[in-house]
Amino acid sequence: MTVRRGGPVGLALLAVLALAVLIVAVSVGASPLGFRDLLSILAGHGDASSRAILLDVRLARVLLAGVVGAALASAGAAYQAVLRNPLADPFILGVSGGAALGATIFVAVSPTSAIGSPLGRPLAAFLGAVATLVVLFGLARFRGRTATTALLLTGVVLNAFDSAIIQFFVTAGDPARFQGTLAYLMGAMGSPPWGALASVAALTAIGVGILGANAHTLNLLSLGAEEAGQLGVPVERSTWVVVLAASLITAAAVAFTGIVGFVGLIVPHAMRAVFGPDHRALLPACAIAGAATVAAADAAARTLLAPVELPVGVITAVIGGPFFLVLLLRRLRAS
Amino acid sequence: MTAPALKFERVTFGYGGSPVLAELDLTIRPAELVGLLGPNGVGKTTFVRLASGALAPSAGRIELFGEDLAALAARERARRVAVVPQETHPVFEFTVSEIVRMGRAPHLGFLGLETQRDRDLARDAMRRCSVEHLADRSFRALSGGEHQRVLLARALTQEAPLLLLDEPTAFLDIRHRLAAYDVLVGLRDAGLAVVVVSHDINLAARHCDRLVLMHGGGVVADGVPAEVLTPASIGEAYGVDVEILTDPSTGRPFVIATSPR
Repeated sequence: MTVRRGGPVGLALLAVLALAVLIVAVSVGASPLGFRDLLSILAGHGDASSRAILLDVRLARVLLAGVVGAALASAGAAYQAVLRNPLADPFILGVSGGAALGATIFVAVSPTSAIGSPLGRPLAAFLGAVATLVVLFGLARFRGRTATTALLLTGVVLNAFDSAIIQFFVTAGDPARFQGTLAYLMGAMGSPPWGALASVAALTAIGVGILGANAHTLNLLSLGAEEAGQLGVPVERSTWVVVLAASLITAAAVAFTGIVGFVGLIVPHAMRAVFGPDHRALLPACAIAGAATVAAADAAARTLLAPVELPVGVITAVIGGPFFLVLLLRRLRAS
Repeated sequence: MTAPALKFERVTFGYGGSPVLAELDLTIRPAELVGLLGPNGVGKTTFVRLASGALAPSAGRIELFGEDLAALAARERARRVAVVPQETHPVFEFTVSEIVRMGRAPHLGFLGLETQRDRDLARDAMRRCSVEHLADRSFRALSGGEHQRVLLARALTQEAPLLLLDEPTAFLDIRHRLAAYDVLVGLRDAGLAVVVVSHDINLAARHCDRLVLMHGGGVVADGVPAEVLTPASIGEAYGVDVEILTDPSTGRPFVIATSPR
């Protein structure tokens, strides 16, 4: 069976498609403002209130969703390669949960003046993500495929643990500090302040950039530590660089929006089917498609029960949960 | 006098219990095709792992072309020594061509982008290993014998002056075994140092300039095939009685195992 791959042209088409999804996402919402209003505002017309709704509320939110999606999908692809496990995902591994816990603790204990700082929550989330990885590395011994069960189990337990502690802080903590964060566990997109959006976007750009520079290294690491080393990869150092970069972007994605599950599982799988497993094509494809996926999921979350909003993680979990089970079943059948 | 391609000096290594290799001394020179023989568990694969830097010796020193292996960066090491592993299990659906091009990894620049020369070298290596027609097929879907030919092609693409092969012909049919050794002899003639770990004594005896027979963590016999393949040395290493004939076409020894000791 000859394998065909979507090349640069495929990537360009994907980018156009993703842009269309983002525009549609900005055009739908609780208020009846649509695509025409968006065009007239971008052309410099429109009144102040529709301007505020479309740009500060919707556009900011869609951009945040896009950045979060790009981050989670890229992180998923990276974890899957270094762990040699196609079922890895920031949420399933418990890294998102650890990041959410870090951000929650920050909100609970930081001085009032620092709560709103754009970098505080992401950095606390990063520490939480790294702490999770240390536990994961320690318990599940990363390399080799035998670790699958241990890895998934560890992730399940870490998620349950992190959720419990987060619930504790949210319930016992100062209600003013935790306003609206109950939805945090299932992804509370919300419309971010521009400072927070800029911070998430910048951290994601840094992390995705690091992963991109190591794209070929990810190909080699996916063959296993020994072969990667024999092909010239400094395995230990590269693994840490990749894992830290993936954790940084997971933390950025989680910091202000909470846990959006399964994006890092679904998107890399779909993109691998189209573009192949070479990370030099796969990573950009994941970033683009991840952005479109979460933007679309968030648009659905905003509109399905309007004016009530669903947490975006509900949408991704409803699709991602069964997807994960199918993959797991296939894997069990194959072995 | 040029430095040896590979030099083990009193190298000891164990996986925890008793050492697999005990104070092993072995030197491989450029333009030499060496067959590494010995029974299961004698440390042949460990030798390959040590020589390629996948493992570090617990005592002793390993030199690659006169340089201390331990002091070389992974990339520099991979430019000097290429390995054909027994098998590989990629978790993703890489094509044969993608797997072979990975051999270029230690030569690629910052972003890992390939040039036309990299692609040409990979294509040429696939042709030499008769896997060119499989270039766009999924590696995982191929047979064990096809895998081994692809891995040999990847190692050739690496352009290292020392090549280590861990039972590269185990899954090959006799035609492809001969073809694989033809490739190795060609590499030797081009000046490469080639070490083949093999269980096929006669195939190794027919093609290799030199055989090294290992047993008990060290070397039992080392030399041209006729010196190494004696009833005494084979008996000691493998624990079998053998009869040794002479291959009429090459004059090399031909071993027939008659009974276990």
